[in-house]
Amino acid sequence: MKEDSPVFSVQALTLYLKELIEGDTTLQHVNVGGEVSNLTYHGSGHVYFTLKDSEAQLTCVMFRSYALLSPRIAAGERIVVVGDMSIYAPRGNYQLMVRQIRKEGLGDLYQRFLALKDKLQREGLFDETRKRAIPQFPQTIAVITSPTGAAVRDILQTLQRRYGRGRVIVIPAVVQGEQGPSSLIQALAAAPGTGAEVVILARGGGSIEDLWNFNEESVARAIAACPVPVISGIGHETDFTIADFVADFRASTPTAAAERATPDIEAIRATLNEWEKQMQRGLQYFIDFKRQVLDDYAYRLEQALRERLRDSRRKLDVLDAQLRGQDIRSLLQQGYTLTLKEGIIQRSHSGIVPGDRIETIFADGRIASVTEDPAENQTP
Amino acid sequence: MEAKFSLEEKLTQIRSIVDKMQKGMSDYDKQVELFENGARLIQECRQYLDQAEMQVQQLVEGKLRPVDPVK
Repeated sequence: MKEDSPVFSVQALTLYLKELIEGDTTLQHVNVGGEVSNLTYHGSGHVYFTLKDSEAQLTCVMFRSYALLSPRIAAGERIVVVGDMSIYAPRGNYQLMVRQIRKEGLGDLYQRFLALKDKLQREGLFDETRKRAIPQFPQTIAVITSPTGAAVRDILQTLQRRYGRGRVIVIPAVVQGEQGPSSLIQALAAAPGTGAEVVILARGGGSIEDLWNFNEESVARAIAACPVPVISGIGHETDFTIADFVADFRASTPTAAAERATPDIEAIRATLNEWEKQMQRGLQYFIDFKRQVLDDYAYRLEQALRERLRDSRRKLDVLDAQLRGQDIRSLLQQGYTLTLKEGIIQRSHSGIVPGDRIETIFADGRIASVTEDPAENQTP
Repeated sequence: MEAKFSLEEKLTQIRSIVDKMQKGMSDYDKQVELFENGARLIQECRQYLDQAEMQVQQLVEGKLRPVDPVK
């Protein structure tokens, strides 16, 4: 220890270092590339993470105001940041105050993608209300893609397998490289003239650079201007291009685009079979239902007839009895007689005394007689 | 050839017939008529589905040229 050296406080030394670092132009506005780890999107809006490579690591902080303007990052991602080196005195840490994040590898392309996406979104080109309905049973389908790639083969096979009808018009286009955009724009402009009711815009998988034509503003605008609904099927499931956002429907692959463009004929056949069964069941049910109603009517009719018959029979019986009772002639013919006294029918012997003159009526005539002692013959 | 045939339209008609048949319980003649119409439409659709053929063309310098059928 040097006896004559001044003694710094921790704070004074730290401040000295801080000034040293912040005064070094090499350490200001510096680009640093590395892999993201220990990533925290803090509630305050600040983002804390560590950039590392195999040999070292660097603590990074991005304040809210910058974080808002930056793409969201994920742990493990390789990125390039721009920032200023500094020291965080309370902890004695040196750290990079990040102002900008770029996704490494994509670099400028990715920045352009984000900028264009943002611009067109603001213009409303991606709005759901702009999306047109895809016809269910298209008679004519235009396919804009490379005439030689795997995409066109996948699409034609899928259309044949699912739908197998109508006209398919392949409009060849350059889907990669400098000629791509103008070729795609031309193809999109030609599609309506072919009578197409829907356009499939497709390209097989490839690197982000390979797919880049579909991130060009001019292509996006040509899709938006196309009077026929456009289905995009570009790259693989994970690829999203500007064309996908503008298209009326974004399918994940060329095959998926062909599927979206057409109904499945086998599914329609199955539906027809099901409807046929439902109609048969409907008619059968109707018949069964009506038969039941008929059976019910028949039963009620029978019951009513029976009731009337019983009723009539009862009435008949009564009448019969009444009639029988009044048919004196038949009684007289069986041997019964009527006894009259002074012309009145006698129902009892009690009204007759010995010596009364009575008249007896037979079926075939009457006789007059005089009674003797009735006591001798009280019961008939 | 069958430009006038609209499968979409027919399918809509059949569906509405199926719905009506499942609801309607009043008139036998009406029910039979629905059934016959539906059966006829289904037959038409099946015929249409059976006879269809896909035609592939390619637009070359503003002209449509036939393309070999898909393998």
